[in-house]
Amino acid sequence: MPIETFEQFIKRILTIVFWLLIIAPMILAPILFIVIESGLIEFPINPYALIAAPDLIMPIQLELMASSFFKVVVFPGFTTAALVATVMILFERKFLAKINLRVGPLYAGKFEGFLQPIADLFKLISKELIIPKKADKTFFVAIPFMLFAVVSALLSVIPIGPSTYVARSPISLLIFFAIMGFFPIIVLLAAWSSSNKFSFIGGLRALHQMISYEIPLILVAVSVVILSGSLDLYQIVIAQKTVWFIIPMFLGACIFYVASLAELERIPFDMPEADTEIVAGWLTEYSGMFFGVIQLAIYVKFYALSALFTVLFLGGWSGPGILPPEAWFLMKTLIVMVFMIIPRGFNPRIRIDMMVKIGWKYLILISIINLLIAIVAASILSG
Amino acid sequence: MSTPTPPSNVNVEVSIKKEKQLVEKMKNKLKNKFTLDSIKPGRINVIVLPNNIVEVSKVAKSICFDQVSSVAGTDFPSDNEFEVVYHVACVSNSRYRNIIIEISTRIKKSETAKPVINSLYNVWRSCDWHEKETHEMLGIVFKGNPELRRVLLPEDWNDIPPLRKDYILPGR
Amino acid sequence: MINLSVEFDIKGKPSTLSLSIGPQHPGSGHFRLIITVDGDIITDIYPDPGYVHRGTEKMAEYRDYFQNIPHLERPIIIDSTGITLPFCLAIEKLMDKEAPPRAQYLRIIMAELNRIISHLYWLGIYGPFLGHTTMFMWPMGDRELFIDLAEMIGGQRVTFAYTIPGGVRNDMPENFKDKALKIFDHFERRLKEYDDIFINNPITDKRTKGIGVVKKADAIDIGLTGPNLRASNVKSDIRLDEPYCLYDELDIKNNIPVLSEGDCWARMMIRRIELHESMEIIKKALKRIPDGSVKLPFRGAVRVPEGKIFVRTEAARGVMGYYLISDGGKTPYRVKLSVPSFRSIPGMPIALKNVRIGDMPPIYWSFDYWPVEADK
Repeated sequence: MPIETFEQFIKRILTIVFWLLIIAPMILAPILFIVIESGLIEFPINPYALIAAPDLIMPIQLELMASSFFKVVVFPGFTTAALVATVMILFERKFLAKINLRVGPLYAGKFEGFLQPIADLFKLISKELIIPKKADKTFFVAIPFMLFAVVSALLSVIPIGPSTYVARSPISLLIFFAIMGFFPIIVLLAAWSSSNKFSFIGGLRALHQMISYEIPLILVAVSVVILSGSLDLYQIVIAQKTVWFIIPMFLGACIFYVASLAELERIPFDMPEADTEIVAGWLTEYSGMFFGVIQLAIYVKFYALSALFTVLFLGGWSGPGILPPEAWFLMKTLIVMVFMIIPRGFNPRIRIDMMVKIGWKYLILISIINLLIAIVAASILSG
Repeated sequence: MSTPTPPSNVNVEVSIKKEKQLVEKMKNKLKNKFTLDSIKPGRINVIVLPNNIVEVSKVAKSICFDQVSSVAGTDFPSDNEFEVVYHVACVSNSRYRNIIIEISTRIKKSETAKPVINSLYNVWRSCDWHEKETHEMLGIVFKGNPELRRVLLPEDWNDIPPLRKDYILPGR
Repeated sequence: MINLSVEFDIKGKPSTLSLSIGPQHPGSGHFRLIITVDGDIITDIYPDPGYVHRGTEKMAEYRDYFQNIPHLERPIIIDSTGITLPFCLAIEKLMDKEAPPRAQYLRIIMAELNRIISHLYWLGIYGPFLGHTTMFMWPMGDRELFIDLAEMIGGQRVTFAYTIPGGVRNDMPENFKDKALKIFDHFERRLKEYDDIFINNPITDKRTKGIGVVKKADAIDIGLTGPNLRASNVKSDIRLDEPYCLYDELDIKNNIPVLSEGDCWARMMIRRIELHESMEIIKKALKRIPDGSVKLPFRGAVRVPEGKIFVRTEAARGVMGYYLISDGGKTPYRVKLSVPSFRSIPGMPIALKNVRIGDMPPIYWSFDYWPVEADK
């Protein structure tokens, strides 16, 4: 009897789950319809009543939505982040394609390739998981999931609406930056456990880059704290009722923008993944579903940093009452993400020593000037 | 609109004064260490014995020729000799830029030893890689070249050097 | 026991690594460059060509002169006229004949078109080596227009084997001139956009200025040719020095750019300026082209009398030289190609001395090294 490897086992399980997910609704839906229509069984929640008269059902729904399980898994947690990340992956590819005078993904899905991320997901699931012989197996396999876990933890402290948040704490900004301190360690572990020269060089570069650019980020956040008077992200949004902080802190917003481009390893700061010099940097040896999980984690981190930008500078969820506040928040975050994608279309990448010089010399200097502006603005606004 | 051009396939008289001047300069310095094969517009062809090639090259460099264009080795089995030809061009002096000097020597083949010739690496650095290629394609050893190594052929080539006439292409 | 590996021992300080920017690498083409790295600085370079060697010179001795033209075209497929033209000139000189003037002008037009096509390909790869993906799509897209032009004359997109001994294969169609002028107008506007997005981009300036400098004396000494030499302050161009194919009738003294810095930026700007100047030369040639036949009548096979000759022309990458020995038969006795890429290999250890790893792709590709051509 042939021995089945772990990868084949996972593949078999995934194939079965996939088919179940497709076949089950097709079989269950008619059965449910018949059962409900004939009134054989009493349901506590009538799904058709939900569509016909939503006000009757709302209290139950709201209670569901207020439970922490829902908040962590569906909204504003795991699923929302994954959805936003997937949409942004596709949007980035189409947007850059238009700049490059081409069309981008076109064939997956009837309309302009909108099912391309799903096609990529299935392709990545079906690939063999290659672990290099000399790699440190425990860390090599654990890193993608560690990365995703840390990134999800980042998201948990950001409030999307006046009562929509996963966790609230009086020092949530500090928690955010504390969790962000994990990234350099994880990247270095990924590079070292791959046991590949190119990964090693890429990992060192990523380490230099992330450490150099965390300090300007924190200094700018400190200036926002001075203006708003609290470390709680919720209070920071409320303090922006009169004026959004981007107007007095325009310099700080620019620094935050540049520093988060560097944190996310986007062009023009993508030396750790410079594929014409060091193949793919610290991600070189990750293929198949590992690569899929890492890419998803990188884009969820992108979403998290853009959400922080919105909360700190663009007034969070404030906006006219036509739309619910969560919708305003998501719109502002998506606009910020589009602005972060644009430099990729027309910039080459800069070299590592230039990047370190910019991070340590110029950005710290300008962010200290920004701190002084914040102190002056705070005294004007309060007194 | 067509401009009047001379009818084709007619040899137009081109002067070879500059080339003759250069050959005179070389003769003054070298007496008869080389024999002049021919002078054509833009080409001076010179035949040299293998022992004199370094001296002739040094004089050629001092006149104006400063960049080696190519080093070609040919196998003449009918004469039992190898011929090595250096084509040297003049790049810095704008007056002689269209002239190329061709220095050719012949090395006798022998059953026992490899054909050896002095390398011109110390005269012109630009002949370095061409000499490496001639060495591996024909088996000629250039004494004085800092590193004669495999340049184009695969590392596990164990046949005779391919540009010799006794090497027949497989399949022909 | 065959030892196929090069030594990879780590000499010196324990922090040195030996990297093989090898044939299977997104940043090198079919060429291996073994570098020794100390931290981020490159200390030692060992070029190792020969991955795609085919034995072109040996195979040329088994084919007759007409069969040799498509055969010798293969080392540089994107600059097809640059490598077949000197071969045809060598045969014509040995036979003591000259092609008719209309054929010479058509050869000029095709040679300059090939220069534009080759430089656009180079630009399309230079962008991604610096990380600029838009600069891959735009030049490749505009290159299609020029390939359409070449297809109108040559009949094929890339390897048209257009020049033959005694002239060219066929005449150009009547609508060529109008279409060419329209495309040139469009491309002049596109060149301005290239300037804005890539060539005057401050990040590109920082990455290429002052990097990989090859001084004038070094450049002449180690044998660089073509645009690499013209970027180091030497006005050397075979079209001016030793005009072939009636280049001396077109006044092209002002169409040859020379820059003096000798760094990557200069080598990039030379090719960018040559894109514009080649279009000017084609316009001049189209104005003056005479009428007449396009090839000499040959009966039977081409028999070249005994003799030897050395011919050189200016291909897109540098000086292309042919040394042809004929013994009077149907096939040549010896064909030696002196390709410009092979002559720029010794330039790499000089330019790559003590630079960072991040500088290696721009410097390496700024020499316009085409691995297939260097390996013949």
